[in-house]
Amino acid sequence: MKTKNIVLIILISTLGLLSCIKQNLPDPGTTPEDKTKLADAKVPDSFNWSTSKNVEVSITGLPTVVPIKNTLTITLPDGSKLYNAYHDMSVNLKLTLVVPATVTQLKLKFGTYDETLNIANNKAAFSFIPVVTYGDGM
Amino acid sequence: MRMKHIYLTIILLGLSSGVFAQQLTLNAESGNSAIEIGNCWRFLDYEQYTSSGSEVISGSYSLKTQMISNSSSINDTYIKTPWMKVGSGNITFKARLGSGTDPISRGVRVSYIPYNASSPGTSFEGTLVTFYSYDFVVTNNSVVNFIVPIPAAIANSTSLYKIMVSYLGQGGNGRVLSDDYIFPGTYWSNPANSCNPLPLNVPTDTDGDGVPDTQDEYPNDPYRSHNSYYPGLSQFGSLAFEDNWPAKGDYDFNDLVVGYNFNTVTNGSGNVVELISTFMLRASGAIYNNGMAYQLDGIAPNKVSKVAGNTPGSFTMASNGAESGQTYANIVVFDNFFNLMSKPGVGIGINTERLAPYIMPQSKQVVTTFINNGVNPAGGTLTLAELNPALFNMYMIINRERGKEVHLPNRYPSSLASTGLFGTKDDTSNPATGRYYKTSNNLPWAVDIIQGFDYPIEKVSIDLGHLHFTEWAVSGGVQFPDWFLNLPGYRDASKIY
Repeated sequence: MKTKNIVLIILISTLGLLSCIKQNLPDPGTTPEDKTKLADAKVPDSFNWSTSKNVEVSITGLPTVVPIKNTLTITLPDGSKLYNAYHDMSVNLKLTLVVPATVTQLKLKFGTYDETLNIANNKAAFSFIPVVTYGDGM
Repeated sequence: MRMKHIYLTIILLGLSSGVFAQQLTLNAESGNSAIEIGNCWRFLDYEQYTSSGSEVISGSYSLKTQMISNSSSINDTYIKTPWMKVGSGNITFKARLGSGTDPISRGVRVSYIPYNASSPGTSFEGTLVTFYSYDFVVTNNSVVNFIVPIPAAIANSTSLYKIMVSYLGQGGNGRVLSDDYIFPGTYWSNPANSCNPLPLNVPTDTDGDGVPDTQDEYPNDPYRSHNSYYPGLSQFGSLAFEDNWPAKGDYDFNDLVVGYNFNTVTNGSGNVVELISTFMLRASGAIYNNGMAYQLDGIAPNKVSKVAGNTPGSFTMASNGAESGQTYANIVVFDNFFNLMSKPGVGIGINTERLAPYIMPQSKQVVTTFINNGVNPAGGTLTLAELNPALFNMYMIINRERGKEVHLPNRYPSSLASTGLFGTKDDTSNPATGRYYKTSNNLPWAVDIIQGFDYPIEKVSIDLGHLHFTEWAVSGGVQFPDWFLNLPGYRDASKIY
């Protein structure tokens, strides 16, 4: 009986020890060894390996009575000036900007215009011709 | 350039003195009142221009008020001009009553509004003065030709005014149609400045390049005015290359590691003057003597006037500094990294092994000039939109073998690339399909990180240092687009230099 108790104590202690060891093992689901190694990776044919994206920006000019020129600045949300040039407000402009892939908005400034342009499908647009709701008094 | 400054001054003085008498017209023929509103006309209780044959007074479009039934104030339904310097003579326009039921009264009032600099809360509009009044015969729908003399108090004044034409009336629901407004005077509103008046004085433009000093980043340089940056002011993107092409390498992406920043300088006409490229040479864990260049995709070499600051070594440059024999402008930044940064004598290269001494990165600036002191290049000028960063095709030249170029995946090789190497060993480039610099499972020989990049140590694949790199690639860039950041769980620091 005494021997049987000793065996039981040893068995329980061993199980407890194994349990502790198991807790210190890395999670099998997150070990780097289980991840696909780069050399074996199947990468989509269309992937360009870039952390940036090209955004086509389209700006519609306003036919003005007299030439209205000002500095047109397009920036990232953090203020980085990507496009910055003297611009005639009546001119239509199409340009391509390269921005971080995670960026979803651009900022546009021209005189007192201070606009946020949303990027959708790698495109952003702005028009100096206002959107008018009739009857609202513009 | 000084003459240009004087010429501009004369024009503005002429405008202010009425020498160049003008008139403001409003005839709705743009077909879109938003264009007039953008040009600082204001409409209250108006509809979009009408093109209905029964309503048009002249041309293809006329103006139409909303229904008038209880409008007793001149502020209820009106057309207001932009700010203007009023001339002399008559304001003229046409108007008639539109269809509607039983109007009791319909009238026209014409007023002027002086500029009041101390009243920003009213858009600088001062106290309105009505100087003309007319009441329609409500049973008569005929067009009335209005001829309204400009009051002497405002005629040819140097002060600024708006003219307001109001329609009012009682009873019924009839509208008023109008057209062919002519207001003698000179337009003086600025659509880019919340429709406030244009400046009365000529803005200071010291260098006479047409850009006011307040907006000119080079106020004393007639040839330059603005800077645009890629990836941003004082920010560096990173290029990291493998140099075993066309065979696979060890994917440590440290055979050549270079930071890049571009400043595209434009002039007052919006044309590109120069491209100031700054490269930060950081590491080369290589035996090969690797070089670096960039191609301006689609830009002819004769658009370049000169190149300064580069070290092309024995590669052949044309007289303008661009590389000879190229279809598009190619600028060789350096032919041999190790000529610019000396190996410490320990380890395989520079700054990829911890046991070797650290060598301070070197900055190399290359200026590609397009318009040289106001002189255009033989091939003509480029706008900022035409020379955008998407065209900056940066690449490595392996071991000074000119034909062995390594570009970012699917970027075009230069004309001097050895096409015979395409499709050999592990490379699956196929010019016929536009596929370049990828293995059969689409792995690259170069990566471009648009911001700072901590590259792996020697002989350690990038995915062992940056733990989400492979997930980013396999997902086509959808997962972990920020894999290069130093976030918890994102990297094994022991494998990054």
